Amino acid sequence: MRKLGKQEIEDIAVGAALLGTGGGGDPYIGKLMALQAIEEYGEITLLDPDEVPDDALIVPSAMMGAPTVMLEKAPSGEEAAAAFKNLESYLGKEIYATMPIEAGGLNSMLPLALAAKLGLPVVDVDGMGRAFPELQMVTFYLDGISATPMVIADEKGNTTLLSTINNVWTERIARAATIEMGGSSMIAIYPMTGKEIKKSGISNILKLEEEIGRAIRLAKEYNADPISEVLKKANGFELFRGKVSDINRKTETGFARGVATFEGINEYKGETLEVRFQNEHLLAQTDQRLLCVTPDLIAVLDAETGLPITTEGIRYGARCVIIGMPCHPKWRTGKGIETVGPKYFGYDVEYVPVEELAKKGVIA
Amino acid sequence: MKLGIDVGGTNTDAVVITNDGKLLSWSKHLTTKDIITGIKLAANEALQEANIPPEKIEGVFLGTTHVLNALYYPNNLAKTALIRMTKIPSLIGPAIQWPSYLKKYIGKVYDFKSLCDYKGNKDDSLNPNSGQINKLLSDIEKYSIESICIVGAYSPLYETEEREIRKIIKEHYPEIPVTMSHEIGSTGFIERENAALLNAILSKVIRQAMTDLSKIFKNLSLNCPYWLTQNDGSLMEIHEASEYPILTIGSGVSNSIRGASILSGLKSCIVVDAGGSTIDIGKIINGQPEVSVGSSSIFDIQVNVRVPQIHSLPYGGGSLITIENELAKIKETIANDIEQQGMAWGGHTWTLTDSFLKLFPDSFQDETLKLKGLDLLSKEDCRKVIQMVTKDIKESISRLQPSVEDLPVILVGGGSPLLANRLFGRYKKVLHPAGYHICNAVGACFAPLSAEIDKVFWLNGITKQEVIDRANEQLFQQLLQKGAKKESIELVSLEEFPFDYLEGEVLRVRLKALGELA
Repeated sequence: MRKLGKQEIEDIAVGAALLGTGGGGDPYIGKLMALQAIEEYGEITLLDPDEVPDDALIVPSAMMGAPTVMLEKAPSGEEAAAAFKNLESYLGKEIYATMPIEAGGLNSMLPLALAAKLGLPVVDVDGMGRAFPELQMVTFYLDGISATPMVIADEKGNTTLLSTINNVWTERIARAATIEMGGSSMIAIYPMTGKEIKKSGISNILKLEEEIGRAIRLAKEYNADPISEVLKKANGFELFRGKVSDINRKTETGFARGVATFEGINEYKGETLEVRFQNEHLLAQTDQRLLCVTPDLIAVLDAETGLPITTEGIRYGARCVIIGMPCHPKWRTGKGIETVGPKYFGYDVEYVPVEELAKKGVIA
Repeated sequence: MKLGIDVGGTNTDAVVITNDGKLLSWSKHLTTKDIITGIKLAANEALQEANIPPEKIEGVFLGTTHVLNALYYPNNLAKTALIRMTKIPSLIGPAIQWPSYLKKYIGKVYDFKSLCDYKGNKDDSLNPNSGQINKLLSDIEKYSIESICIVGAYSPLYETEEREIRKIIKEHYPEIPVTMSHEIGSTGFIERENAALLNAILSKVIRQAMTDLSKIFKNLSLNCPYWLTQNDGSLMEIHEASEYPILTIGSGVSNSIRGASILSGLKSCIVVDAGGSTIDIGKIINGQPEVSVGSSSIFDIQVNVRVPQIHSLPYGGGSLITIENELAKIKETIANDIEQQGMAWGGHTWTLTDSFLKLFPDSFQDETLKLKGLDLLSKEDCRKVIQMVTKDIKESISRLQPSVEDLPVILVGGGSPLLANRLFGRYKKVLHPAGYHICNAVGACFAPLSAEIDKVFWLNGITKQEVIDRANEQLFQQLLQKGAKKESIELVSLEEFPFDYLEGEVLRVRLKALGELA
């Protein structure tokens, strides 16, 4: 067990945005919420998964829906409190702790802010080790854990309790409810036991986020290269260095899809890289070869500061370093690839782990 | 004929230019503390030198860093009351992460309940905020509130609630400035609130400046319309500037970028403006200065107002140099007048300019130079200073260079002769155009009129194309009204931002049109 203060929050926010691989919402508002919550309610208690009793009830909390809308109605915390209360009375059990469902600018921070407000600890575990756009895209789903009972709550005081036949239906109904609630909602989802999070979750994700964020901060302080520090922390590979020469976005079927094109600089001069995204960066390839593909992580970093750039933040002319990182082994199983692999997102390539793709790069 | 004026951190410049672009006269004065005296002296001198009667001047075009400086060195800022309108109070308080010296101007905060849903439909079962409004009204005098800022959640989607509150306040206090957030920024509550708050806090200093300006121009018998340039480089009428001071904080920089393009005749280029207190590096593409996309930051305060996309180095020709641990260092302090204090002019302070003159003594054609004064400086130290400066400038240029084509680099500003022709060999083309020292004032004279719409539309029974056509027509009419030449009006940008997860229902559209002043 340890306490998270303001500096830890600043570092986690940066690391979470990096592992959010371009998506996961605006890190700014999430960070502000957590910082404000600490100011009001004091430091946040972070538990290692091993410290959680096997029979304890753990409920991840998150924001669902359009980040754009979320930016208008920054949550008060009352929504999540109502959602938790509703779930507790349905399950007839007290919630022991909360946790993030994914790594990303917003959803890594929200559980921290709520925990401070509700006086609950946070468990250092999540269900993705990165960010993905749909509710069933979590490692709990791979182990057959049900997303429901879940509660959706809005700022008006409405709560909706869902029990669904499977997690794909959860996604459909929850999304429809979220749209009715005004485009964004707070959710309490995947209620689990301590035993289940230890087995099916991705442990020590906040710790990794904090280490990445700290590495970038310290690199700046000591004039070191932030990129190589990040690569060390995340076991990552530098895929490309380039300037954004084109960016093409459109919103289709609820998701921001698009392509960013980078023209190589330094040792990559003469090459062109395409990064395809759907909320998150999902595929990176040059004219000749595939460099990294989902579920492995692709992050676009500012070449100078090493800070992660979200898909909305990619600007023409920006100098970036694109890095690839291996995803959690749980995603590299048959069911994992089926759930979040390239085919699911409509890309006609086979999944090859980034470390193998990187090796090929060396030989070529 | 046009009179262009630029009030910079160090100098105030004025130019008189004919309508077909011929420079008739120019003058330069040190910027005075009150701003106004410097403007008066510079304008008067330029008019006299051009030898034309004031009634021949058809427009005065002004750019200034005054508003930005008022935030830097808090001056004449307004004590502001903030009204937040939300469903339930947000966990995030107002102005967190603001520097405390600015935050203290937020005198009072009121949480009002929003009575509408996100589509703007009023819920009649909710009690109106009359109690709180009455409290606010009585607090205004009690706490000497000087400005009011209203920020409603979802106000970019519907603005009625913000307008209603403003109306009530104005009925009781017709004179008090009221900022409505939907007029300042788009979606993103916190960033919009930050921008609106800064705008409200600046309402006093801008009004004072505009009143003073009206007086001087009257004194000088200039009875023509006068304009201020705004962040995106286009013109704003004086009464608009009084309402939206936050939109003028980048005016000096955008004038310098446009001026460099005019002086060099290049529509696309990178501009290095070497001034007395800063060196700014910006970019113009197809005649339009580049502005930031999305949110930007002012003193680390996140705002969703567009500002010119520049790299600003925190030093200029007047910056002082010291040696610390045997290393040359550029300090934050600036000499008030290098021609009095600089060693190259016989003074006793070592400035950035002195360092350059030590190595390149023929940079300035200035008879008042006493270069003997530089004998005290070591060549090696000066070389180090120059290396630092050129490295910073080159890095900033490279961040703005698109990869496809290397843009020419234009050097302007009073300090630009120091940089000219010796430091930038690797670029395709480096120009140091005549008139570099009055670039900003020239740029102001050529600024276009603009009209912009950034709004969220509900697509109820109308198509996207109809929304865009209507908005386009609205812009056209606005520009005509402002006095643009009909045939010069063109739509320069059109961006659509669909709302994720709400596709098909709502669409945020940002359109901008420009026109030349008739």
